[in-house]
Amino acid sequence: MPSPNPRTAPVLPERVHPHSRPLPQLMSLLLIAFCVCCGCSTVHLKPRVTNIADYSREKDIKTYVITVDSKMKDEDYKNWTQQHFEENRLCLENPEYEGIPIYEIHYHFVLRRPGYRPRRIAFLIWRNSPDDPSKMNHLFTYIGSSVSMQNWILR
Amino acid sequence: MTDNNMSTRTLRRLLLMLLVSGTLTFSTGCGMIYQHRLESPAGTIWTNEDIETARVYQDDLAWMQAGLRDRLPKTSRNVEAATILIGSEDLHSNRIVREQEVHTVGWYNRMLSTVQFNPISMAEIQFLSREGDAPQHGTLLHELTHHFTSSQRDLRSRWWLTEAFACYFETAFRGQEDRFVIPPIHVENYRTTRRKLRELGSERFSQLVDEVIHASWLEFYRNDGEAPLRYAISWSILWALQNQMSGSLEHRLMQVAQLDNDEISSRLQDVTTSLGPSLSSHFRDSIAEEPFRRWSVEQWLNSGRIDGQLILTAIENELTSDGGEIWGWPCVARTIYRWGSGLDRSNRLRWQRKIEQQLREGPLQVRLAICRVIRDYRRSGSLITVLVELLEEEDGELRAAAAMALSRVSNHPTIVNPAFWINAPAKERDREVTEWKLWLDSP
Repeated sequence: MPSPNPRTAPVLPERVHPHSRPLPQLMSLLLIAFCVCCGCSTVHLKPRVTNIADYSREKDIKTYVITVDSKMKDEDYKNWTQQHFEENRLCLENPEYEGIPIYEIHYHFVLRRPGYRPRRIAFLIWRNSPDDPSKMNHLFTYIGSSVSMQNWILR
Repeated sequence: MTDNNMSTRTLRRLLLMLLVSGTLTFSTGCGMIYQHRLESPAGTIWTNEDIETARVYQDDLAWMQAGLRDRLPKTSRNVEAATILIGSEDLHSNRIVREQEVHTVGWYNRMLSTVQFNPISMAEIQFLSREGDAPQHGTLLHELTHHFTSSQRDLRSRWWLTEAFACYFETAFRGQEDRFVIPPIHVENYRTTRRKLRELGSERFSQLVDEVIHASWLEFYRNDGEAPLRYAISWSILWALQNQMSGSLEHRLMQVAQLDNDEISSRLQDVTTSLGPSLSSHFRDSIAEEPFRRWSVEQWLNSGRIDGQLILTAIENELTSDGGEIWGWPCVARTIYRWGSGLDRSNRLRWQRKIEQQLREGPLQVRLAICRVIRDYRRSGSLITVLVELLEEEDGELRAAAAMALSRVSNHPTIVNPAFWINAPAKERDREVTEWKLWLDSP
């Protein structure tokens, strides 16, 4: 049977499924679901370092007190401190005492939030590697507040 | 060959490989994971520590085994050897110590009769403990006690009692002639429980103890930061109630174990009463007894207020005994320079002169031991002059120890790195010493 004249044959409307949604709306829903599944990490505020204070006393031990406005992930304290001393080249040179290699670097992280008393939340020690003076070994990271002040001095 | 047959054959080969490698691992006895294997009376030790440290563990475990068998003769009758896996300190690790996990360094697996122990680094020990040389073997002893008591019917599924037994033995120390001595009290657990009692009051404390007694495995071991408190309470119950029983230690402990949980609950008033006396009063009682004299001195020096005169009298009694000087003189230093010693001025000054004399003229090991315990005590500043003198000593270790001590007692900046004081050329060290002397002479 010959097809009807295309100029005169009526255009039949497309059959639309009653439950189908337009594609952009579906993509938006998927994106929101993805964000939720990622634990809202895309909207969670990252901890901010608000102050870095140098409390060093000894010639070959650097001591820093880092003030933050919220807690970091446990592993991030190590990453942040490593970045800090690498950027400041502390494993290669001693800013205050030329010619005296740095033996240890101590980092105290203090949480300071409005309306709350500041408290130490983490403590790290890096120590000069005996095999390679240009490298620092991470001794440990302590996460917590309850260790008394006298224990912060290791020597 | 169809796809189905091929994938089945591949899966079978994979399973066979896993079986073979698993069997190989077990048949070589963990030799693929650990470097050293040593035999001890307690069982086979696998460790990655250096061989010298491994031999120390071997010796420790032999002593522990002998002590536990001696104190628990009936309980340990059919106990077989355990497998003891000891990890090693890894200098390049991403070591994170979390506050609530401080005490979790050992595990016991009853099904495999295996003790696993991960020693913590000296840096962590010094940081987390008030003592400079806190013994590590307490954890091993704790886990070994689990092994010795694992077949006891009365302890099965009673988690508080299982841990109470392990806590009871974990503080045992080597006395004179290597004796296995259990101190009269577990200081840390007593302190923790007593503090909680004072915080909560008798009624709420009894409710808490009751919860601990009736806790399921999940409830007792849950990681809520309160597990050390539950351990402490468990020990306190066992300690308090066995004190009321008679007979040998094993007999007394088993009499408590034979009480069911409801009977224990009915005796909580006795537990509360036992926690009344202060730690100082316990030390005052035990310091006069020879086996506990050194232990009492060391524990008391870790406390707040002390009876300095009583402690110095006890130390004087020990100075002439075997190893007495190396042990005693640092304890003297810890007594006389601190706050709250209770000593009168003339007595304190007399002992200060003796310490300075020991630092100048004593045996090398005594001088090192004294340097290592000096902290930023209230009166340690009086030692600065003699410590500066030690920076010029012939022995490198002594110079390094003196420098460390100076960094603790003085505000004057110094080089702390031990390698400098041991190995640096004399010219460079002399420069530092000259700086110290100028600082001492300055107004």
